[in-house]
Amino acid sequence: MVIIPLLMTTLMRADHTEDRQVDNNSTDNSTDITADNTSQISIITATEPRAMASNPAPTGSATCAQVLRSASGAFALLMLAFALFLFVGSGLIAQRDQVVLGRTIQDQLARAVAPIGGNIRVGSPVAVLEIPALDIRQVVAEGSTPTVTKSGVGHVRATPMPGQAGNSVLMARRSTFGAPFRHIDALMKGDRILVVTGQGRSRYRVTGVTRIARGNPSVFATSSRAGRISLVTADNALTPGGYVVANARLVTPAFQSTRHARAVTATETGLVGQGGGLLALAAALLLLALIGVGTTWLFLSWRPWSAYLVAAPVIFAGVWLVSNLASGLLPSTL
Amino acid sequence: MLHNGFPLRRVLAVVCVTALACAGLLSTGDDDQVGASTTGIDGRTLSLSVETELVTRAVTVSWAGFRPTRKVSGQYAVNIVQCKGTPTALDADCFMNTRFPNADKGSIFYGATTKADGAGSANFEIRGAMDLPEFGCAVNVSCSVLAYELTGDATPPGQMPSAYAYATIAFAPSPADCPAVQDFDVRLGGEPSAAPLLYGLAGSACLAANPLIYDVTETSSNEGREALFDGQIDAGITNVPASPAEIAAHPLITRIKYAPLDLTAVAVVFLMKDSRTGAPITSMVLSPRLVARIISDTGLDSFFADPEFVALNPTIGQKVYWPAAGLTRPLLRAEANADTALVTNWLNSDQSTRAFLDGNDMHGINVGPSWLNVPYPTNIFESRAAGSGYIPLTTQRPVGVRMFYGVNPSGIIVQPDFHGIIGIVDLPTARRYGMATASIVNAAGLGVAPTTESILAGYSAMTLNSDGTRVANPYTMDPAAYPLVKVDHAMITNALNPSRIVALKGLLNQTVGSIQDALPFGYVSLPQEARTQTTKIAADLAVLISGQEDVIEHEQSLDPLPEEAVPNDGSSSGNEPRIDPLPAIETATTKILYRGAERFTPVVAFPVGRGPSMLVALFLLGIAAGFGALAPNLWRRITRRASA
Repeated sequence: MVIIPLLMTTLMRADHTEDRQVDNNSTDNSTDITADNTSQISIITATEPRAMASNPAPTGSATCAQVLRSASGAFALLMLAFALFLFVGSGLIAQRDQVVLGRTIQDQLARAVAPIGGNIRVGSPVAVLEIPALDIRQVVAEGSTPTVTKSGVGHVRATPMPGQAGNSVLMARRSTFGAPFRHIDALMKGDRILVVTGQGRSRYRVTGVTRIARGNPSVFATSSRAGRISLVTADNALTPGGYVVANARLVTPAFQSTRHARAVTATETGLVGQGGGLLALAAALLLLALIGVGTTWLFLSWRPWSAYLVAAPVIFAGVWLVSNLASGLLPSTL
Repeated sequence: MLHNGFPLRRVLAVVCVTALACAGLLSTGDDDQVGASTTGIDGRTLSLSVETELVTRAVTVSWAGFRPTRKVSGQYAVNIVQCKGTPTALDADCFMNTRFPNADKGSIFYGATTKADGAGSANFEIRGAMDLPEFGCAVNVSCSVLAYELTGDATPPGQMPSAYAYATIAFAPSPADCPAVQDFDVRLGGEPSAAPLLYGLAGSACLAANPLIYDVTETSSNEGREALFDGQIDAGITNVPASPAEIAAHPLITRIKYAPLDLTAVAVVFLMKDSRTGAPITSMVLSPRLVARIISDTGLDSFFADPEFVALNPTIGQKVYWPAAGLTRPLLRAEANADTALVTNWLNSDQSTRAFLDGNDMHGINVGPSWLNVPYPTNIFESRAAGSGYIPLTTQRPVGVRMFYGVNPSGIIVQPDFHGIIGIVDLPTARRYGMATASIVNAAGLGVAPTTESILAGYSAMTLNSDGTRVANPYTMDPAAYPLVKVDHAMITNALNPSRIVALKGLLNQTVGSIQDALPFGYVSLPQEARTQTTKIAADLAVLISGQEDVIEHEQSLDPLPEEAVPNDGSSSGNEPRIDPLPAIETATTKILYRGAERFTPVVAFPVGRGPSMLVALFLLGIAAGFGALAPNLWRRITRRASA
């Protein structure tokens, strides 16, 4: 669906180029694309098939090839935009969310009202995580769905809160959205991890980094009453097949345990994306298509550069929206 | 590394003790020593009604040798604060910075009056390490109470006031004396009325030769049962048995035992002063109907004019002038708890009270419209009329603290000779803060105060259920019986972790052992039959777990496991706790009993099917598409250039 608007512009460009090539045998068509748009308008605005036919246009198979080429070009551009969003732009979202979460938790810690257990709203900040060795300072939010880890580090709801007895599992992304846990496999035994929650400040020492295959629930398990923390992310930057887990042991006294959930849903395992976001994605793609139609109209009725100037921010916003929604389909550890 | 904190603590403790000893030796040289533990400037002395074996509680602080407070200017009024063992600077060593509404963090008494003879006294709240962690007052960390005169000049930072006296105080064992551990030997939680007793036991147990670490959490009976069913604790402390609905929701709990731990009561407490003389009022008689009138927020301004109140509190000897503006809104616990159930059940048992609540009052007083036909008994006191200032408070402690400091539920300090404060707390809390307790009218029509005799009479009338719990019987016609008696039971199920048996057995035997003859304030020693019940349960814990004997008590437990037993979403209520056979294969229908929190694996719904390699495929496809779009042009250009 996203292909439609880009297809239209590309198609029109391709047709025009083809015209020029046929007519003028020009060797440099790129500079001329925008020079003369009267013929373009006559081609594109022609609603009658006859108008197209009257053109010294290519044959049916050639048109088909052009459409395919345009489509694949549009698709490639969109994928490029998506990749740029994932590995560059999404970091901005995470950074901004971190600032907002940081202010919230700071205020809550100061007023001693930070949530320490029970039914905590998913996405609300619960702790501050610091790993001096990796220069990480992240606000931890409750929950480990992809939506939560877009903002930074998430706390798996079915595990104890950091600082308490039992194994507290924190999950974050390895390659997108700021990639907080990109380097956790570089943690060395003995590295310090500091966590501040509403119950106080806790200190951990890293005991080791392991790889755990998917399907092994021991990553979320508590093996003893000792206080532990597990930092979990994907084992691979693009095609995760399991987890990389940095384990650490609590060296300060454990805080009072609080109640927590007892089940981890599929989206919370960090191995699949959020289900159910497809409708919103479809709507966003439709919006992008509408933007494309509008841009095309502008492009045809104004001078090209004016049209580009006006349309660029809107197209950017549309692509951003689509990419952001599409990134929800990624698992929360990626 | 394993016990990173401990050596430091020990060293600090040794240093502290040595420093204290040195300071004590030095201070004998230049200060006036009065008694064993009092230090003061120019003959000033200070004494406390209780100086040893302290826990968080109110004590009477008395002083002598101070300059009399000037009546008009208030100069030489006395401030009382809690300090470290040997204070050397008021700002650094004493807890100065909080006052109500922040009194939850510490206590300070401002502006007490010294009489013309240089003596004075005031009630002061002392806090142990659990309530004032900044000072950590415990067995090994001595603290002191300091009284100093307000001369009008501020005390410079880092110095002591110019005129003061302090007394060193010693604390009873509490969990604060225990080493910081990650592994508790046994964990209990629930009804707070058992907490003072268990805290003392926990402190003694971890200081013993073979230390055992008990974890005690005070929440409520309801929360205790829930936490036990969830496997977060080993024994829940509850006044009432688990409801059939609770048991039905946990089909894997097949055997439950209730071991009586202590005998205490719920008290109606008040803080009032005579509106003419300002003297504290210490006795009052209330009927269930009058208590219902207070709880239902009905005409509290004119409460003391209620004909029944006047009849129950006749003038004997000197006339008592009740607070002029009536009562403030009552101080009540908000969360679901057994005390509330006990009180409302008592109210419901009385015909005239029920008539009052149903709008047919014998004295023609209309119950507050929000409380008309209120269904009792209930677990929870709700603020039924929003914005009325009727604010129940969560947990016992805020209720007790506010009662002590004379603060109404909205957090405003009131004058107890103008506005009387009344509330409902358990007896240990009432005694902890030295509160006046009301006598309440029992079914026989007599007003009884919560004394040892009346509580024992109430105990004798209690209903002994088939599951071993004892619940107060408000209908008893015994004229000596106090109606609001309660027994705290340790509730133990077959889900108990076998590794906890030894510690739990020790704890149960200790609780009903010799400590019952030397109880802290607010308890009555448990009669022998109940103690025997507990020792028998303690001896048979292994049988309780294994179920070798036929002790199945609940028919619901025999239901087969439901097929779709494990819910997919992670809400904590209703989900079954489980043991984890690490690293067992988890399926959506796996359901295993969880014993304690020793090992725990949540239900994990791992996704099946493809992983996110789709993303890589998508990117590859994108690259291919881009190449496909550009290739013909490139090819054309290359060929054109080649031909040229």
